[in-house]
Amino acid sequence: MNDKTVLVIEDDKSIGNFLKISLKTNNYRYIIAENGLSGISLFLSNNPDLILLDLGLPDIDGLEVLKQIRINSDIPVIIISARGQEKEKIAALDSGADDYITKPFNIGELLARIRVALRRYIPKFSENDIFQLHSLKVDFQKRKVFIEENEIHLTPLEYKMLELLINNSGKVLTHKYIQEKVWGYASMDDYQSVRVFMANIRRKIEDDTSNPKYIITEVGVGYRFVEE
Amino acid sequence: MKNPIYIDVLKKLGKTMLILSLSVLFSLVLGQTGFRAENILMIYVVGVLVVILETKSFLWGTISAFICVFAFNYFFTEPKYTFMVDDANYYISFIIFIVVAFIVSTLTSRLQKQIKISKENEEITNKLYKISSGYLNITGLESIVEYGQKSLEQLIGRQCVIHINESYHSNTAVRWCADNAMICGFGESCFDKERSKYFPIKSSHKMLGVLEVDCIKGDISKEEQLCIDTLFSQLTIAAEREMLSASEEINRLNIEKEKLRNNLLRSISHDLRTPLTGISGGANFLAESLATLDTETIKSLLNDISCDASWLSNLVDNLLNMTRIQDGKLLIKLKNEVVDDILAEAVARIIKRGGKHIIKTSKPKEIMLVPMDGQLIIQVLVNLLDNSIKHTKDNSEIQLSSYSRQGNMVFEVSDNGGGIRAEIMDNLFESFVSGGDSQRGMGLGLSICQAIIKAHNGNISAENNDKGGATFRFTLPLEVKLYE
Repeated sequence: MNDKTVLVIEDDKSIGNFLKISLKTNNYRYIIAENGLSGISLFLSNNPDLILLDLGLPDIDGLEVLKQIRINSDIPVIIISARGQEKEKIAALDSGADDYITKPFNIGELLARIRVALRRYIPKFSENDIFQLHSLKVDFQKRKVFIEENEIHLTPLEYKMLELLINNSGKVLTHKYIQEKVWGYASMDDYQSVRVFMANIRRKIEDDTSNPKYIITEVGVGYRFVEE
Repeated sequence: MKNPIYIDVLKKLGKTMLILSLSVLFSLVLGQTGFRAENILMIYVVGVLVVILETKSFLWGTISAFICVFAFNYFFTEPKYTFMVDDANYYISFIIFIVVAFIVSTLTSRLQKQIKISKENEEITNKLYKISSGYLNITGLESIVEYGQKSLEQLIGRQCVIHINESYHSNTAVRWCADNAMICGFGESCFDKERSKYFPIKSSHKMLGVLEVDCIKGDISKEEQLCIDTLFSQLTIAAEREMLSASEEINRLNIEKEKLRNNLLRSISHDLRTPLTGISGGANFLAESLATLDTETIKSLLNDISCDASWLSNLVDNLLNMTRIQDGKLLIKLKNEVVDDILAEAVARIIKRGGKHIIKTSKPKEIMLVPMDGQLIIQVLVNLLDNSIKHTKDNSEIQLSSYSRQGNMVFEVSDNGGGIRAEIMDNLFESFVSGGDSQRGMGLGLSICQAIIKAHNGNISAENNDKGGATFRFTLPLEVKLYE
């Protein structure tokens, strides 16, 4: 039995209903708010474990709801957005949302995102650990990367990026976030270096870059390392 | 300026001296042979007339008349070789002589003036005619105004500037002139610092602009005013003609747009209704007869519903892009995207929908950054892949490749299906051409592809392969090539 509570802030009744049923069948408790203000008040009164937040709300901007929530808490927030809201999506991720999902979405995908977001507090791979997924092996202590036991040479920056992605597996990282974490300063060139470095890493670790096994591109937003 | 007048005076003086000397000499010769004094006086009259004709001047005529009178007095009246006159009759003759010379020189010089004016008028008329015929070869309001300005400068020899609507605000006098539609500037008390005069240019119902004429040389003369007026009427006629043709062009475009919109709406409602019928029919049937159906049937119905829904979702994506295209220009934001990412995302979206086609990709050898609107190019690839999937059987192979060639990034979607029918080949990318009646309208998808690629300054084309199947190919101009 799962005892996690999910607060759904979504104005569309039929999507709300469908989320409700899906959450119920997967043993989550749920609260539905149909607008931003009631969402904030339900969040304050119910102390949920995770929030699903629609960006297009009838009363106030979803981004505003996120900011209000972030004042008091760092509860996991997953954004639900329509396609074409790329800017809002990135803004939400950069203002502290944990993840996003684009309508129309697949419920399996959403549940996976919820699981990842809830697991966020579990400590990540420590310095001593060895990370293994399919044929990819990363030795964090020796800072070495292997594919099928063959060592792959990564440049220090490439290694830093891969480490960052693995430590946040399942979570989407925006170009801005990666730029700041790896390079330590903001970029002036549309994150060109991030993209080029990422393309290089993928060519080194993926068998087929058109059907990547490890690093998923979220076009226009950033990258996500697959969940285990 | 001094020199020509000086020379002119000298010339006239010379002429007058010469003619008068000849007349005096001639009269002296005639006097010797015993002609009567009246006839000799006539010779002087002729001399004065010749002087007037030659110098074309009233002044010189009058001066020579007096000189002649004194010469006659000196040489021919008693007592000779003095300026004394014995016979009072001669006084009358002198006066008549001078009056005649005066009248003749007045008439002549007036005639000369008339000739001069009419010559000038002819010249101006000629120039104006040339200017007005020049308008016929010019299109575009700006070039018309520029031409008018130049012509006026040549015509009146002053510096002129024509301000059309946009530049009003830079100059208060220009604005005042435009707002009040009145001549202002040079020579008026409230514009005492202005060295230019401003004329409003009005067409029948609209303020066209303001003409600024430099007045450093002094105020505008009547002739210049006439030139300006004529030029204005030519200018406004040309400008009105231009505006009329522009508004006609807009009307034509609007009609065209309206047609396109209607076609689009018809096509969309058809495309929307087909999958919607499937979804609502399937869902209704499931809700009513759930108890009597076996799991297999239920599964297949649900599968159809989900298929139709994803198809609808793609249609909506296309429509979203279409709205960006239809409002005049397509607004695209070019960003350098890694080709690998774009290919991967397009393939991922196609795979997500299920299906039994084998999609193979070949990516460029190097990591290529191509300036593009990522979402739109992905949409193009999805549309092309989708198109290939629809027109080939299950388990067919679809090849997606990308390579750089001659400064362009080339993308190809190739299949081994039946190819494109010859009769639709020519207008494949035009709106709403569909591969077959039973097929859902992919025409919309292909026309969107074309609009997107064109907005990127690229090219899109389609051809049948030698070994069967079709290849769709588009190129994007490459500006940046990074990384070893």
